[in-house]
Amino acid sequence: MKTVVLPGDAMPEGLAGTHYTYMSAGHAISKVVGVYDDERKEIMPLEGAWHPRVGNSIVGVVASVDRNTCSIDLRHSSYGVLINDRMSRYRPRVGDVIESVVKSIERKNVPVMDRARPIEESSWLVYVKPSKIPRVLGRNNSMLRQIEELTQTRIIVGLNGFVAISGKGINPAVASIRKIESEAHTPGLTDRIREMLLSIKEYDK
Amino acid sequence: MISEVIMLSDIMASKINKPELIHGGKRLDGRKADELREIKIEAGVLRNANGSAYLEWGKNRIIAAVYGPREVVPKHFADPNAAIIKCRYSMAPFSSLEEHGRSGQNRRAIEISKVIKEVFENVVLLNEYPNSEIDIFMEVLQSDGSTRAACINAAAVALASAGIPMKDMVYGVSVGKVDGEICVDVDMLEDNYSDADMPLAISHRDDRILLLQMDGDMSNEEVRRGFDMAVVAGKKIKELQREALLAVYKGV
Repeated sequence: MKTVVLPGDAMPEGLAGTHYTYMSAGHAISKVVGVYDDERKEIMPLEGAWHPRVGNSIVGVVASVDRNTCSIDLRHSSYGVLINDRMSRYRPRVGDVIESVVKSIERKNVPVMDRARPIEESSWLVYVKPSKIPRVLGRNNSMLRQIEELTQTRIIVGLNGFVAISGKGINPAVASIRKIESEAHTPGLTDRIREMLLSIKEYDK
Repeated sequence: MISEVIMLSDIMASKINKPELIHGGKRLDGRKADELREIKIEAGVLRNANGSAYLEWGKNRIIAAVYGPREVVPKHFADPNAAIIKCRYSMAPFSSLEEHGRSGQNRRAIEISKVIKEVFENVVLLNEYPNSEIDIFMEVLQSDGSTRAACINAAAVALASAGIPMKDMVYGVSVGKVDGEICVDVDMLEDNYSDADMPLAISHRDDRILLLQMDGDMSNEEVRRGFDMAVVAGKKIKELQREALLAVYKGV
């Protein structure tokens, strides 16, 4: 069973500390507004900022270029650092949108990347609350694949919240991402998005 | 001659035309001593803020917005080990009968911003976001006494709805000594003529006091009784804050 928990709520007995709880007198206490899943024994936060982790794929905008590094705007509390790859043919310029993977986390929560790929200039960049990104991806990327297939687009999702969309049906793709963002906490979303996209297609005909 | 001229503000603060605040065991607006005004809280009302809340508490109308964690401006304020909180309490120029200035902060607003900031520094888990800042804005659109307590309620809901990690939720409530009797949740008229008033901020889970200020005179026993009344009244506020947050995520 799923229940909404608020900061300060005591979790059921026996739950060990997780990233979204802290321990007080032997009890796990929730830190955030989230959904507690009885079966998985974990809290999924409903709101909140992105916590960078090694291996996270990101989408960002190049904010400044130096000799050895670039700083990348990730809409995070600090800029990301991209180490310039001398072997690569791509030279980042200010304003470029890039995709990359977090290689390490410096102290002060600064994500560090090496190797970036530019995102094609015809793409659209939208920002989704980072807490809703797992829902945009869906289990095993099922939601993402469905949108890509039905709208004939290519979608690159950064776990920091930026989503780059290119291809044919950009408008319905953005609409479905916005719908996911606002209804992320409700069940049966994949089916509803499918219905929505199919109805839009009929309208276009 | 000059001594005969009495300013309106002097009357407000003096006992010259003090009305009877408690009549037949009831207060001016018909409440009992331990009764709160009507409260309505709504979370997530602003689109551009990370978290927000709108609160109606009697005639008080307050909107709170939370941004962050985001980059610290100016940079030298940044703490490499923890986030910093910036708090801004402000009364709109049209919010009360008296003048509240056309722009910017005044002494009173700066003080209230400071004490509210200290309330939230004790519950927000600041070490999770080093080198960043969390902004809390509270705007009083209409005021009718106990606005700092009301602002704390709105800001706590806004912080939770922004997903900022917190040890606990907080509620604020004020206690006053009105015509010699201890009353909870004093409104503006009672506040102006009261013998003492004491705003409190208390944590939900373990009733820890996060803010305690007092104007006027109250005995030890009266303060203790006031605190107990605040905790009892707080149960209703806690419930309303929870409901406001849960209403956003209906259908889970």
